[in-house]
Amino acid sequence: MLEAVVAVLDRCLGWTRRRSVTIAASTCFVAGLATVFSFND
Amino acid sequence: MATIGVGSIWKFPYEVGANGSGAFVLVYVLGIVLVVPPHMLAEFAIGHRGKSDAATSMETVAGEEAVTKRWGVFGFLGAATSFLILSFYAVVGGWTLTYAVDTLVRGLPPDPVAVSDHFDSMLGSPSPTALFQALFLCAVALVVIRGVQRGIESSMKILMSLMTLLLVALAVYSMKNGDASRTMRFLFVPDFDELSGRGVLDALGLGFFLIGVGLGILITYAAYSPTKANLKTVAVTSVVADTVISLIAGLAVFPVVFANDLDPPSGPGLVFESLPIAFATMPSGRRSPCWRQ
Repeated sequence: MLEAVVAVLDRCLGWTRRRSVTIAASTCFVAGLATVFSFND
Repeated sequence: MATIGVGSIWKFPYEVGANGSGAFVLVYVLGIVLVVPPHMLAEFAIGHRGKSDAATSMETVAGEEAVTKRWGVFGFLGAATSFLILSFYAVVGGWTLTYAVDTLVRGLPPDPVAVSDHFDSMLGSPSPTALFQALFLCAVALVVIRGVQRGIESSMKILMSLMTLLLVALAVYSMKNGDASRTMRFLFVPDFDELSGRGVLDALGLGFFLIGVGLGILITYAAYSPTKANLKTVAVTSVVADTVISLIAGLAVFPVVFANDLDPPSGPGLVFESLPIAFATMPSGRRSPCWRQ
């Protein structure tokens, strides 16, 4: 799934693969925190 | 093979458990055999012809067919959906890592109640969950950063083989030591009275979800396929492999669920509340210093 996002970032923003992966994975982590805290009643 | 993963092992059993019968499995199988392959082939064809990411491939193919390049927006939407799904898949991956580390350090819980308490306690502790979610994403990033062929493809060859072996061994063990007859009835004897309209939609949606249709993934991977690749064979192989792995996951989980009077519709925690019981009952399965709540 990360590859689909990274491929779009590589192509559309002209970023290096390393940069695309780092930013996509970091943003994904932040977005996932919503899931983590949603289980914390 | 990249389509097989967390969904087959984690989501399939809990969706079947929640929707309660072989009728759900039958609709899922019919959907994944009859409805999903045409969509897969369409995505493969777009990626194979566009030779780029999901958005650019859709723009390219639309341009070649003299229709508006705004079709590329759907490629972006697919990638955005992948991003959102990965954000919560990473949490499930983090749960798995938490269990692995807990098992190494503290051993497996002694009984089904302790397993359930452990899962609830993990959900109520966001800091460790976030830490393991980050570790999971770091591992994924390290693989993806190496590229499709050197990173994803080469690691998949090893990891998928290992996962399949472990899952088959676990299914055989569960069927032998759990409630096999009730599992077979539950999974393979359709009871259409238990299947609602919503259940039919869930079963069809599950097929799309597990294969990864509409997420830009198939377009992205097809861009790397050789010019003379047989896309039909790839689609059929993916559908068969994904369905078989999902059913094997069901055979690994439900015998334990029924043998220990667990609740099949217990939701996303089903796998995390049943497999530890199977592991704990294996020979040497509870070799650990102690289990602390």
